[in-house]
Amino acid sequence: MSTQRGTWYPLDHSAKIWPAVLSARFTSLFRLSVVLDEPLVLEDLRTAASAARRRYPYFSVELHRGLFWYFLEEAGEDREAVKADRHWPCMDYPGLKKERRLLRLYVYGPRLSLEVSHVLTDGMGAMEYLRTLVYEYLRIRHGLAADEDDPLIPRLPGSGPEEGEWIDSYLDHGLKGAPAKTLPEKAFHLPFRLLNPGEYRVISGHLSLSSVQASARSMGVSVTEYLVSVLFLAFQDYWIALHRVNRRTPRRLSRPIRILVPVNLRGIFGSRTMRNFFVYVDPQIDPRLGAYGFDDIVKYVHHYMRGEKHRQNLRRHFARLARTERSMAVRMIPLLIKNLVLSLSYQRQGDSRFTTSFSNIGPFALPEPWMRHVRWADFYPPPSPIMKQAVSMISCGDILSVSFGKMIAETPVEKRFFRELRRRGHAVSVGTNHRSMIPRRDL
Amino acid sequence: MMYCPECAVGIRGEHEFCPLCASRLQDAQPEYPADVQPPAEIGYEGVAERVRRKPWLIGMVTLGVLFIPGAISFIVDLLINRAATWSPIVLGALGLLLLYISLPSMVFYLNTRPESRASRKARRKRRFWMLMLLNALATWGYLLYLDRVDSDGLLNWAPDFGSLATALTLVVVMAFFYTLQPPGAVRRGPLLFIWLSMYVVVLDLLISSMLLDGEFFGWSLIVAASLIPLGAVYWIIEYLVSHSDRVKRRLHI
Repeated sequence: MSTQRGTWYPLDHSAKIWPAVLSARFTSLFRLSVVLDEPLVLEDLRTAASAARRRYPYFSVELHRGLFWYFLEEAGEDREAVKADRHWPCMDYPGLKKERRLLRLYVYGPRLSLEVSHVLTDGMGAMEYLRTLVYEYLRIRHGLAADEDDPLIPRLPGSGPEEGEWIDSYLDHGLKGAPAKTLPEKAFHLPFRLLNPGEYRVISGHLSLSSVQASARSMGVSVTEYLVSVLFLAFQDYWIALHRVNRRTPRRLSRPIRILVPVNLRGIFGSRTMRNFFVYVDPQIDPRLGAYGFDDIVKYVHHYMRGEKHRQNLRRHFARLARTERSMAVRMIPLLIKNLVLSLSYQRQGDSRFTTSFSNIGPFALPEPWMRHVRWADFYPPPSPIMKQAVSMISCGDILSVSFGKMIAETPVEKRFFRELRRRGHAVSVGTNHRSMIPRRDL
Repeated sequence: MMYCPECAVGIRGEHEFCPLCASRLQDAQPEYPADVQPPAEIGYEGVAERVRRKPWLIGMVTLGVLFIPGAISFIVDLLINRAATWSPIVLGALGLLLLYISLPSMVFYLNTRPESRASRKARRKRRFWMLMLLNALATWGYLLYLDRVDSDGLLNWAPDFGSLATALTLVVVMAFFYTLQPPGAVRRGPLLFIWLSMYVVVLDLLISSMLLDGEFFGWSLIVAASLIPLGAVYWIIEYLVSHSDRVKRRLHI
């Protein structure tokens, strides 16, 4: 593959599925938000956005439909890229379909939100973009200066794109004869009616990072493993309660609980790409075999995730397909048929195999003078009408934000999740974008 | 910041109720969340459409399964008697069974058109009673057919005991069928009425056949006709009152 940057790019391996399944509910958009200490100044933000665009020109693209594949084409500067915030996040499907822009900035008071489609990049790529943008904005706004050796300085706007940032790393690390991953059985999903298309509720809880870290450390696990275990516990409790209340529970509600935990491959495979480059590990518990204690779950999740995260095993997730899709026979199939096949395969192999997802994007960090102006950050997962809710977390300073992105009105899992954290001694403050909550005592 | 007394979490923003459990918020922060975990949501809202997504499948599978005994009985009848003598009765019974099994899934098929909860509930109730009527008519027709086949018999099923039995059987069968409630869940009390009436009828039958030299229903039918409806009504009331929530769930209303 050529490393020369052109004006158009093929979609990377994991992005190819998204245009085939895009819909008003399946928007593929996820959101990173940063709340500053004062309301944003639009002119400065636009200047910073222009600088970020020059630094990451491969992000200023539009999605186009070709004869055989979708592709991304570089577009001119979009002065309208900064918009007033919308009520429901991650739901700009008409904008995605008609204007084809895959990256948007939204402003609401001191909150700056970056909404990106998974067609373009993953959470880590978006995080890097946002760090550069906020860095540049605060530098312009407050005239800040940092030590050049500070490791927290992002990829600077003035430097221009570097080689290897826009390549498809899946392809580089794919192997032709690699064995495919076996398909797990379908997973338990919450039995609730979906909200109307266009509606996406978010419940985000803020915790103290140091408090959670201390608890995780005392059990000898990472923060992700600790919170995934609490999430398992919440789902298990609901699963058991559901079966206790309904003596004849349908079989599809008696399936194991499996959580999709994305793993960033950049560090493991030594890649600098800003496109998608992640796979997942999928720990599961099966309450049909009996209830698990919290210590059991923590131990299981810890060992499972450590065991899964080695190079060869992670390669198993993408190695075969990433090479296969480059073969001439696959390339020559018209897009219409490819879309059909991709859509069907997503229905069969995609979200139906997972109860929910838990994405930890890590810390949002900038040099110390910058962080004085940043209050907290939020990360909202992309909506999934099959899993019905997904979980994501991000930290900023000592504030750890855990967000539930929901396509249902009911709150059985997050209620148990945050109560369990509270029971374990972590102070939690909860916020939501849904205001007209009607009290329903039976939930 | 306001706090939820049940979840013991702080609530950011201006809210009157907790976004997690809908409790009214308070100023003071509770030390711990409520000890008792919240119950699971009762009901299958949102599940029904998936459960009933393939209404014809149940009918087709049942047809496939019932076809085998039906065909065997028909062929055996033809081979032995050189004509269809008793096999239509078996085929009719199997057809009735097919109707009992496959009709509900077709009638309760949930369409995806948007409608209010109240109208959906009303529509489901309407369909339920329509289904009961359909099944009652089919059973009645089958009994009439039995009468026609067995025209020399002493018992005239359809107009006499058949109508009562049909109505009672249907109510009981439908109640079990659509609620999938095991019989053990209903108290034994109401059953006594029905057992007693059946005992009286059998006794009358035995006495009349032994003493009067032929089956004759006299006083026992009068007793049964009064006892069975009493027991059935008692049963239905007991059933609906004590298990109303379960019935509602199973009917998706």
